[in-house]
Amino acid sequence: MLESYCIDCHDAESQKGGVDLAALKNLPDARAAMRLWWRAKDQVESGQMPPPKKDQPAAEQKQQLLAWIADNEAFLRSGRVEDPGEHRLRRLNRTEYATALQDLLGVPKAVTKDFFAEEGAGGEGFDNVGDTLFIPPVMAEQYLAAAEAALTDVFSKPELKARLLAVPPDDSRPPAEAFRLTLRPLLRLAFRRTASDETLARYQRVAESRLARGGSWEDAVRVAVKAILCAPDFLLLSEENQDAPFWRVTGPELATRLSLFLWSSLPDAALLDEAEAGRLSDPAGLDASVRRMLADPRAIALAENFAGQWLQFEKVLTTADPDRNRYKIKHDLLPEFYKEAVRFSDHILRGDGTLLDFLHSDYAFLNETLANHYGIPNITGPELRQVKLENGIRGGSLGLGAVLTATALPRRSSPVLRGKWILEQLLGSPPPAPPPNVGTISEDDQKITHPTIRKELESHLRRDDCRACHARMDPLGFSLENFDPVGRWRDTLNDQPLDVSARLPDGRTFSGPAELKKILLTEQDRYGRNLAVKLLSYALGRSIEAFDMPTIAKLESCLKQNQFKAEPLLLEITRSLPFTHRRLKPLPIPAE
Amino acid sequence: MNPTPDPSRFTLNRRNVLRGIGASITLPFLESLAPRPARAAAAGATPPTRMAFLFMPNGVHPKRWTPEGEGMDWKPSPLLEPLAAHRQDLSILTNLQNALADGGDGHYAKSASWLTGYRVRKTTGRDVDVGGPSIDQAYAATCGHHTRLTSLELGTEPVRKGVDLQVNFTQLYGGHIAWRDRHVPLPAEINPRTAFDRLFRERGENDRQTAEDTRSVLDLTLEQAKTLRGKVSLEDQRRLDEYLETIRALETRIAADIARVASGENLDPSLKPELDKLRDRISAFESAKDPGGQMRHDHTEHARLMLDLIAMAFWSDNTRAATFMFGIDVSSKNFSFLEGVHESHHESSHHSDKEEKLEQYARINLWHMEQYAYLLDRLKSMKEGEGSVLDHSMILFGSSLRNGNAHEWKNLPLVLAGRGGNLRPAGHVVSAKDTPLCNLYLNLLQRGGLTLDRFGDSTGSLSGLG
Repeated sequence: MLESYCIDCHDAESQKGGVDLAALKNLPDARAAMRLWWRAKDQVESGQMPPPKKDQPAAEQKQQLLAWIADNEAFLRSGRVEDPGEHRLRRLNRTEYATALQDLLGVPKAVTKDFFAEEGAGGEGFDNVGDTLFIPPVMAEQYLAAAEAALTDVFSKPELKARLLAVPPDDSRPPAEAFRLTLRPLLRLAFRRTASDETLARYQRVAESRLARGGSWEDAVRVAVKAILCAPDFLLLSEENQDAPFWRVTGPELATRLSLFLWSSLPDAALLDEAEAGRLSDPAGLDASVRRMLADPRAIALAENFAGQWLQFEKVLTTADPDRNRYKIKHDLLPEFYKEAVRFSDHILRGDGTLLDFLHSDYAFLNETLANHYGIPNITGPELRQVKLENGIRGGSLGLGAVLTATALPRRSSPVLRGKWILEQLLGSPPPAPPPNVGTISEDDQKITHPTIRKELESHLRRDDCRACHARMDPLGFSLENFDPVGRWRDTLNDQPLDVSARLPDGRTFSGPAELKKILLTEQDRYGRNLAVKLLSYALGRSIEAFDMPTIAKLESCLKQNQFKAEPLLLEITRSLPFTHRRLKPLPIPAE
Repeated sequence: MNPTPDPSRFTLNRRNVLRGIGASITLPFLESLAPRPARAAAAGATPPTRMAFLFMPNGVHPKRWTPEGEGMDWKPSPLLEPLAAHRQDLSILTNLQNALADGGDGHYAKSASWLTGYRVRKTTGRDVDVGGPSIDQAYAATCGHHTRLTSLELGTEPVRKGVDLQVNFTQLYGGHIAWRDRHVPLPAEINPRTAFDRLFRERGENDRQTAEDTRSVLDLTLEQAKTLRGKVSLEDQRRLDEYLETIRALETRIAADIARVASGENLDPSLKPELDKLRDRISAFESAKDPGGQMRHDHTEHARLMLDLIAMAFWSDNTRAATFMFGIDVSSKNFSFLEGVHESHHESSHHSDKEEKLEQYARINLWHMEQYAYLLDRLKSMKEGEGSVLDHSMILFGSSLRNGNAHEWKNLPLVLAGRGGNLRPAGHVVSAKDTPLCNLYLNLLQRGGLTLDRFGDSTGSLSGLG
């Protein structure tokens, strides 16, 4: 079937939609092209491919292809492939670095974060992927400057300074001993393992030489700490090499993986104690540590960094740029949106919520500013609190001001961008990029009427090169038109009533945000798989490959068995083969 | 310079040296680096040659760019109007293309290869590869050791975090035009304060003490790295070495700074009033961060501060190679602060040939030309030797796309200004159709003193430049 109906457009030369089937001639390559088959299945099942104007395969042939895809998926998930994947040495990213310094010395993140440029993303779209954490030539200079700024902050704050200098030399304690007592615990935390005597002696020597050059005890500690903060053992996440096809990482290495995943930071002393006592290699011990870490306030990092990048709501602090005059919003609204999104996500990831609440929830976290903005009465005061919602409109990630704003243009809401966001971020089924020369609709909602926007977008359905994707994206976005570009409710646009009805390619019809969310709740399998892929990728700091499918399968069933609660999923990830093991060379995928 | 077309040649040498000696680098820290003569005393010496590359995202209005006439007898097109005052310093380049940017996707691969001229590897991040260093880095590799910063990379927008799983490109390609080598992009600094401090932080009395502290910190770091190196895989050692290389670069820079202080040389006093002015403007910009207007920042002032930083960095000879990204590729910058514009940048570039949208696209283009003219004004006002800093610079402005609507990579919009490297303005230079953009780069590098006969996909040095 592929030869007769697909290869014309999807060969090495044309690669329509970025798909090249010719590259999959041999079986292992074909098997490993997991994502391509996911897409192919969606397209063929829904009748989008082959395009209606082209020759159509018989139903039987279609079934054959779909059966092969299902077989392959089953093969990959079966666990006959056992490969934990690689874990390359990488540096701390800017968020992890700033968080680590906060935990280590008490320095607020804002003091150090701006020394580093925003990082790009790799893998499944996260900034903790080793492949894309480059080491530009100014790196050492930036680390040094950041360390200096951090220490200046510490020495300007009496309580932080006292904490760092808690064990000064005195009559009974010579400087050498005072240095050792001060530096040893710091080295252990910063290097994420108990420092060897040799290492300790090195840092002690640096401090002593500062004394010898005429510095004070304070000066001497300061230099030694600066050296710790520039050490590769602190800045670079390295794991020891072992001579085996693959192996379980050491206790301290696993502790570091855990703390980066759950806290975006270093392990604390308690976690290192567990690791060095060997208790993380025991399943019950590992679970206990994970539960303790999730209960710790530092685990807010999951909401900020995982959910913030996955749902892209952190964009309201960076690139989202709604026209403030047009929509009459105050400068503090976007930060409020951000706090709301973090709090909502945290409630799902660590509180009483379930992961399905990202699709739809009957509650939101609001304060007076947000409630007024959303038109919800009787909420006063600046603190966020959980509010029960009376209708299905505002709940879920699609009710968040941050998400609605991040998916709008400065002066117009965009059904296409919002539909694309749902497919990409929630359902893991991204549409290909549009062909060139397609143009866009006016971006000013005062220059165009709502019926015109719909009409223009509906013209997508008449063009072959548009339909396959827009038939999926646009209806989702139409139903969200009740939200303006800054997430407020509206029934009209330019005094004309909005048409928020929509029809999916499979014929289902619905209208408005509340009904959209009901539709989304019928897509739990797709959502679950996407969530498993995203969260595992974030946990591992790499992209998800075909050999990860057994783990993904486990995570998917974990979600189903536990009604989409987050904690069991997080525990399952931290127990998984790729999270606890490492290899250097890829292990072959068997052909049969 | 080795003339073979090995794309990595500019960095291989240094890196091999580093690898050859493993981590056991012992750099004689206060090695008697001869202090550069103070600038005042250097009058009469030949001023250095500088290169800057200014990137406009999302292409141009295809019908309002190309001027009428050829050679010095050219009539400004509507978009070139803001440059009229500089026509004696300009070459407008027509018919240059970046052919290897074809395929790939609409944008990301085209901006990543704008200054490299090689094919960009399609990847979501695993094996980022643009084929070779960018032209600014090729130049910096030969002169960067003379200046406080090897090169300067500035921008106004953070790089996009994300991967495009359908075109299978990481979006970071669209946020980087400067590439240290084929694998390492150089992030653009977007905070004018941070850039200012890196360039101009004054060296005080305490510096010797601080520098000695830093020396012991860095020595210890190298020692520590040596221990670590033995425990990790070969692949991981490479990354570790990259970090060591940056430490080595820092040591060299600090040594040079100390030597400068020791020789009594500090920032040229004549620069001080200008620097004070710039610092004040940065403070004003920061405090007006959220003016409650349509925008988060005053975008024009942001761009101008960055351009001023480049001008001052050149004037003070703190760097000789610079890149500036007015925005990242696919920038959706809100340009509604311009009269008659209500679209964001990228969306206006997809104009479907509708007049109303094209007009906005052109206005956004025009804003970029005005900022370019501003930089040329500044450089021209900076006296140096017998002329101005502009007389000793080559400043290229351009985009990685022609008509943004079609993602065209042929006949790119490009303007070259300045007289550095004996460049003589040639007016409207119309090359043969489909001439490689890299022929221009080869020409510029040769003017910059490099001996090489190939860069990227060049087929020869561009002819027609004065």
